Amino acid sequence: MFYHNFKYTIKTLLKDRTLMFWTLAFPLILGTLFNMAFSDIENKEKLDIIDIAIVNNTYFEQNEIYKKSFSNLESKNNKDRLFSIKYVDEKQAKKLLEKKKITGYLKLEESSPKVIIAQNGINETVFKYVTEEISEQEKIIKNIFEYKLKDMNSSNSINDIYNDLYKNIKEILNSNKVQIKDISSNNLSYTMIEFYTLIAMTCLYGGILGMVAISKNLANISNNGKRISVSPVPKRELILSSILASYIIQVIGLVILFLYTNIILKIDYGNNYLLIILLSLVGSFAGLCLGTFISSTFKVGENTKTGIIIAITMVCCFLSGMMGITMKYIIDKNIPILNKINPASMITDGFYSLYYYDTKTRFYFNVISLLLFSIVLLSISMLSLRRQKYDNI
Amino acid sequence: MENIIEVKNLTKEYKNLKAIDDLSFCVKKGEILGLLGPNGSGKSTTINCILSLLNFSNGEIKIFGKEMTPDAYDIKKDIGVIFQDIAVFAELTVEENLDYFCGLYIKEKEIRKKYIKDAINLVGLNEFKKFYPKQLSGGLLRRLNIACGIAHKPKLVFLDEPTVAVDPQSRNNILEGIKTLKEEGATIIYTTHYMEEVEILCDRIIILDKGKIIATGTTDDLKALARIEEKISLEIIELEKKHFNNIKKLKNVEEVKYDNNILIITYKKGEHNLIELIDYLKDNKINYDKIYSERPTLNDVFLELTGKELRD
Amino acid sequence: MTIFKAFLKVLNKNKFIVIMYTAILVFFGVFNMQTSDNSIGYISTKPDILIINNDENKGLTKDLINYIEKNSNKVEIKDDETSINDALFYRDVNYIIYIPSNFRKDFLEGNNPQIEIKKTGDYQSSLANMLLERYLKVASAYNEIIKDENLIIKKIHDTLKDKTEVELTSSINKNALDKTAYYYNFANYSILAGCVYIICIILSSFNNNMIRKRTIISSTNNKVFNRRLLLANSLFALTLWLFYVILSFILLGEVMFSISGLLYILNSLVFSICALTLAFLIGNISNNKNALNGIVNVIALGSSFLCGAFVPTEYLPELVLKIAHILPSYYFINTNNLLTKIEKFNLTSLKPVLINISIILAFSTIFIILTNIISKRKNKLS
Repeated sequence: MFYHNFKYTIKTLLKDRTLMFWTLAFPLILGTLFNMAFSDIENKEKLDIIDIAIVNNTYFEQNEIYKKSFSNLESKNNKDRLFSIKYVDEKQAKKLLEKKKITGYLKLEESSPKVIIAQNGINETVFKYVTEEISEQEKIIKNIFEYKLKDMNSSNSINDIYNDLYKNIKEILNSNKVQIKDISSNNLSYTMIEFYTLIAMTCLYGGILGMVAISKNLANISNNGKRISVSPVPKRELILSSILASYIIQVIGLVILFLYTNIILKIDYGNNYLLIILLSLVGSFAGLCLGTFISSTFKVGENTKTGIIIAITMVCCFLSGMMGITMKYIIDKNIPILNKINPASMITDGFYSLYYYDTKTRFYFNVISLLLFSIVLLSISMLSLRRQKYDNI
Repeated sequence: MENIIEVKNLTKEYKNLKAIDDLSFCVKKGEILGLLGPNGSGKSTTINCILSLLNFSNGEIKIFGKEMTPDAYDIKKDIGVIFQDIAVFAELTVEENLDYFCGLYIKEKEIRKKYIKDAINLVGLNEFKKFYPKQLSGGLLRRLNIACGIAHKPKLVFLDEPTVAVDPQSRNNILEGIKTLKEEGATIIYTTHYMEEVEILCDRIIILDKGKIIATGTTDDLKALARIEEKISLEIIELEKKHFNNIKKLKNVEEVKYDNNILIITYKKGEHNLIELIDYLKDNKINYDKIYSERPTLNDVFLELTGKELRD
Repeated sequence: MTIFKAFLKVLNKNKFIVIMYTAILVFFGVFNMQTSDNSIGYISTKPDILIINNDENKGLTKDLINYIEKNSNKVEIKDDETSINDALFYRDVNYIIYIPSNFRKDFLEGNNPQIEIKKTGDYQSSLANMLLERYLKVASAYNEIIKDENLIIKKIHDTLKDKTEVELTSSINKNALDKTAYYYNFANYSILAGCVYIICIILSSFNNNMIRKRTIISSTNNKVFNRRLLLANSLFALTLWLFYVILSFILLGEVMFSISGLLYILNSLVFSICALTLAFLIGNISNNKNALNGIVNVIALGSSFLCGAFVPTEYLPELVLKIAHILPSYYFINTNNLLTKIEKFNLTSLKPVLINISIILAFSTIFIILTNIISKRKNKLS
C-alpha cells in the first residue's frame, strides 16, 4: 500500500505541469538568467586600462619625470599597466574628451599639472591619483635635495648631487620597502550569493510539492482526501508515503539545478561535497516542512496555498539577498534575529560559509537552525495531521 | 433480515446549530435506502458521521454489527463511497484514477485489473479509458466519480447526490448502474433531493428535515401519508362562479382552486373522478384545454409534512 | 460600450491581483532606488577602508591612519573577524589594512615591516591600494635620508598636501540622471510583469471559451471586438503608465521637469504601448491562467536581466547584450541610458533615441499583426 500510494503520488506530481514549472523549470531559467546577467560583473568591476591623452607641449617634452612615469604606466610589459595614452595637441585632446573617447587629458603648465575630465568617476579619480603621485616624486626630490644641500660641503657640483639623489630616490620609490601582503580569501565572488539564494528558493518552492501531496490525503482539505480517508489504509502510511514521494521529487529537482549550476554555469559551492549534500537535504526538508505546515494548518484552496508558499519564499529570498545581494548583509548587521528565523537565509548562509570560511562552526549552526525550524513546523502540523475525525469538513 | 447499519441516537451539533438531531435508523442487507430531504437537511452530515469522518456529539454507529471508528479497516474495506463533489485526480487518466482508488482496497494486481474493467463497463466509460478528467463532459465525469467509489466491489455503498447537474443520458446510466449494484448484492444508501429517482430506485425511504426523520417507509407507505389521492388540473378561459361552486360539490372533491385560467381540483380518494369531471364540463358546454391527472408525489408528501417544497 | 463595461467588471474582479502586483513593484522599485548606493552599479570615488591597528596610535602610525581616513570613507564594523570578513565579502568595505604591532619602530629603523591587507579586488580596492602604497613610498623615501620622525611627518605632509588641479568640462547632473535611468530601467520589469500579466488575466477571462463563442456569434464582428478590447486595455495600460510617471515625479523631483525628463516619459509611454501589444499577443496564445503566469514571469524576468534593467548594461557580457537586441526592452533601456549622457538636445544627439523608439514601435506593429493572425485562426478552429 505504501508503494502504491508512493507511486501514484509521484505520478500525479510529475504530471502537474504548473507545479513542475515552478519547482523545476523556473529555478533553472532563473539560474540561467542570473548567470547571463552576473557573470561579468566582477571582472568589469576591476580596474580596466584607462584611455587618456596628454598634451604634448614643451613643458611635457622637457619634464623627464612625467615622461618616464607615464611611458612606464602605459608600457605593455608592465603587469600593472594602467593607461593607454594618446599624445596630441590640446585641440585634439578636447575633441577626444567631447566624443568620450578618453577619460580625460593631462596638460602640463609652468607651475603645475592640470587634469581635465568630463565628469567624476573612478577612472577619473585614478587618473588624478597617478598624476598627483608623479608630481609628488618631483616634490620629494626637491625636498630632499634642499635638506641635503644644507649639510653638504659644496665640493661636488650641485648638478651631480641632484642626479645622484634622483637615482637614489627613484630606486627607493620603486623598491617597496614596506611589503603589502594580501591575505584575503580567494573566494570573494559575491555573485555566488545569487545562486545560493536560488538554491534556497528551490528548497522552499519544493514545499509546494509536499503541500499538494499531503493535501490530497486530508479529508478536511480536499475531496480526494475524503475519498482516501474512507479507504482501509492507515492515515500514517498514506501521509508518510506521500511526503517521501514529494521529498524525492524535490531532491531530484535540486540535484538537477545543482548539477546545472555547478557543471554548466560553473558556480562554486566549495569542495566539501558531503556537507553540500547535507545542507541540500536539510534545506529541502525545511521546505517540505513548510509545505506540510501550510497544507495542514490553513483551510484554504490549493491555489491560495501555493500563493502563500510562493509569497513566503519570495519574502525570505528577498531578505537573504536574491534581489540585491547586500540585503542579507544589511539584515545580518542590523536585525540579525530576522535572518536567524528565515530558512532561505539559513540555506544561503550555509553555502556562503562553506564557500568563504574555513571553519565549520557557522555551517553547522545553520544546519541545526534549519532542523529546528523544520521540527517546530512539523510539530505544529502534527497536531492537525494526527486527527482522523473532524468537527467540520 | 440482517442489519448492515445501525444508527442510534445520532446527534451532531455545530456551534449553535443542531445539524442532526437524535437520529436512529437501520439499513437492511440488500436494500436501497433513500435519504430524501432538501438542501441542508443533514443528509451529507449523516453520511459523514456514519463514515467516521465527522465527530458527533452523541450516538452510536454500527456497521456490519461492529462499531465504526476511523481505524476500523476491516469495516472500511467493504464500504464504497461516492461523495457529492467530484473527487478524482486531474493528473491521472480514467483508468489510472480507478487503479489508484481501487488499489487502496485491493492489493492483488490481477483481481484489481478485472474489477476496474467491470467498473468501467458498469458506468459505460469504455471509450474513455485513456482520457484525462479535463477531457470528460460533466456527465461522464460524474460516472467516473462513481466508478472510483465502487470499483472494489463493496458490500455497502453510499451515494451522496450522484446525479446533481447531470444530463439525462448519464443520469439513466447512473441509475441503471445502481440497480446493477443492488442485483449484485450490495446494500445502498442513496441521498438525493430528486424524489423521482427515489421513487424508481429505493426500497425504503427516510425523509429528513432539519436533522430529524419526519417520515420513513416505502414509497407507497409515504404516499399514503398524503391526504390527497389525485390532482386534476385543466385550463379554462373563463369559468363562471356558478360552475366553480358546482364543481366543488362533485363527488370526492377536497379542494378547488381557480387561478390564472387554471383550475386545480384535488380529490381525497375514489375512482372515475376524471370521467365525472369531463362529463360535467360537456354537459355545461364549458370549453377546456390541456387536462392533466396526477398521482401525488413525494413532494406532496413533503409539502404535507413540513409545509414547504423539497427543492427550496 | 458593452465591451468596456465588461472589461471593467473583469478588472474589478481581479482588483486584488492588480493592487498586489502594483504594490510589490512599487515597493521593490522604491526600495532598490533607496539602497542603490550599496548595490551593483553604483561607484563611489572614495574607497571604503577599514584599518585594524595593532600598533600604538602614535607618530608615523597615527599619521598613516589619519592620511588613509582622510581619503576614504570610514566604515563602522563590529570588531570581530567574522563581521569583518562578512563586510569584505558583501563589499561593505573594499580594503582592510592590518597594521602590525611595532610597525612604527620597525619602519623607522628600516626593518621593512610587512602590512597585511584584505581586498575585494574591484575598482575601489585598487584605489585603496594606491593610497596605501603612495603613503608608504613617500614615507620610505624620506626615512632613507631623514632620521627625525617629526621631520619625516612634516615632509610627508608637505608632499602629500598638493592636489592636482582638476577641470570639469561637463555640466550635466550625472547623479540625478543616473537615478532617473535606474528608476525607468526598473520600470521595464514593472511594466512587463504588472501590466502584461494583468492584461493577460483579463483577456483570458474574455477569451474563455463560453464567452468567446458568444462574442463570435454576436453581431459585433471579430475585428471590431478586438479593436474595442484593445481600446479598453489601452486605457488600463495608460493608467498604470501614468501612475509610474507620477511616482517618478515624486521620487526624483526636479530632474523630471527637464527635457531629459520629458524624453524619459515619452520613452516609457512608447514602451508601455509595446507592452500592451505584447500582452495582447500572449493573451491570445493561451487562456490558462497558470500558464500565463509562467510565460509572463519568464518574459519579464528574462528581458529585465538580459537587457540591463537590474544590472547596468556596462556590466553585462557582450554576448548577452547581442542576444538582447531581439527584445524590445533592450531599446527602451538603451534610450534611458543614452539620456544620461546627452548634453545638448538636437537632431544629431537625439538620432539614436529616435531610432530606438522607432524600433520599439516596429515591435509593437509585429505583435499586433501576429495577434490578428492567431486570433483569426483560433476563431476558425473552434
